[in-house]
Amino acid sequence: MKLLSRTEEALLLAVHTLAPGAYGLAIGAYLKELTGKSWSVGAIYIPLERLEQRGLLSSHDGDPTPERGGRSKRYYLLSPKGVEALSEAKRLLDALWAGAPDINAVRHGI
Amino acid sequence: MVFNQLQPPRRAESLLSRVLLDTTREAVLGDMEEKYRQMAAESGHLSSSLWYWSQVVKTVPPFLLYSLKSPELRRQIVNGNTLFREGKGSAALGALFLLPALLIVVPGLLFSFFGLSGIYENLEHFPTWTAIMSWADRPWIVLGGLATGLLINLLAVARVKFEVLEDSLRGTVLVKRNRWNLVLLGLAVFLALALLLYLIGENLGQLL
Repeated sequence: MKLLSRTEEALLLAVHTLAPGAYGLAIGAYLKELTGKSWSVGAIYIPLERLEQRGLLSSHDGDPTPERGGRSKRYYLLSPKGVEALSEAKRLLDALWAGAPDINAVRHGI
Repeated sequence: MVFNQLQPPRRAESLLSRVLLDTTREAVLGDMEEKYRQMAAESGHLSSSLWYWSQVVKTVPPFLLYSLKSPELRRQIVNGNTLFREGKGSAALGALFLLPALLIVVPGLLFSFFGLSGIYENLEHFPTWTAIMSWADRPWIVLGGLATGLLINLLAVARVKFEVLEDSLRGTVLVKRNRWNLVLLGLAVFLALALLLYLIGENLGQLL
């Protein structure tokens, strides 16, 4: 399976955390809170579309609402393949960190 | 002013809408409008409009690139929909191709009627009747113009396809069926017929 990029991993984790209410705006707000930077609509939706095309996410439309000009929200959910990809990403990162010297010790010159 | 009656800047919304594919258009525009209304309620119409425009400026290029790479858009290109958009699905394509296509078609029509030399030599006299008649006196200009115009017009809107069969070669010209393409095709056929009639008329004496 193709490795996830950092952005893809962050988006999949955001969808996983916010489910079942994971839609574009909520995902953007969540990521802004964690990363401290604004995520444009394109920076969220384009990777989401790619992840959906790769079968890692599924989506469905909610009901149209007046505050959205009568447009509906698109809710995203992790697919079984997405769960597997996230799990693999975590395993890989854990393995990498486990084999590396303590970064805080290096940082503080210990 | 009540915030929920405020609408996002229509031009910005329209611009963004043109580069979005069908699959994401409603969701993206809905998110943008929801955020716009939240901001308008908190910090006013002006700053929310500025935010909306800034998002559009940041978002249009990546969405346009993404749309161009998408299989949906490639399908629309293969279908020969190169001049005018056919429904919302080809919004990005329409926005991208409309201007270049017109830039090709308009000179093509000018070549058709006047010929390249005719345009340059008679520009200052345009559109006097004498100037128009003087072009008709130079058949090579008219003929060259007709041929060039026909070719350019067809290339602008059509997909030409060649297939190698067992013992022959089959060529087809596909044009998406919409009003404007049909008008252009009609013009091209008219020009071709005019050229044919002219050639027959010119050479009839020699043939007989």
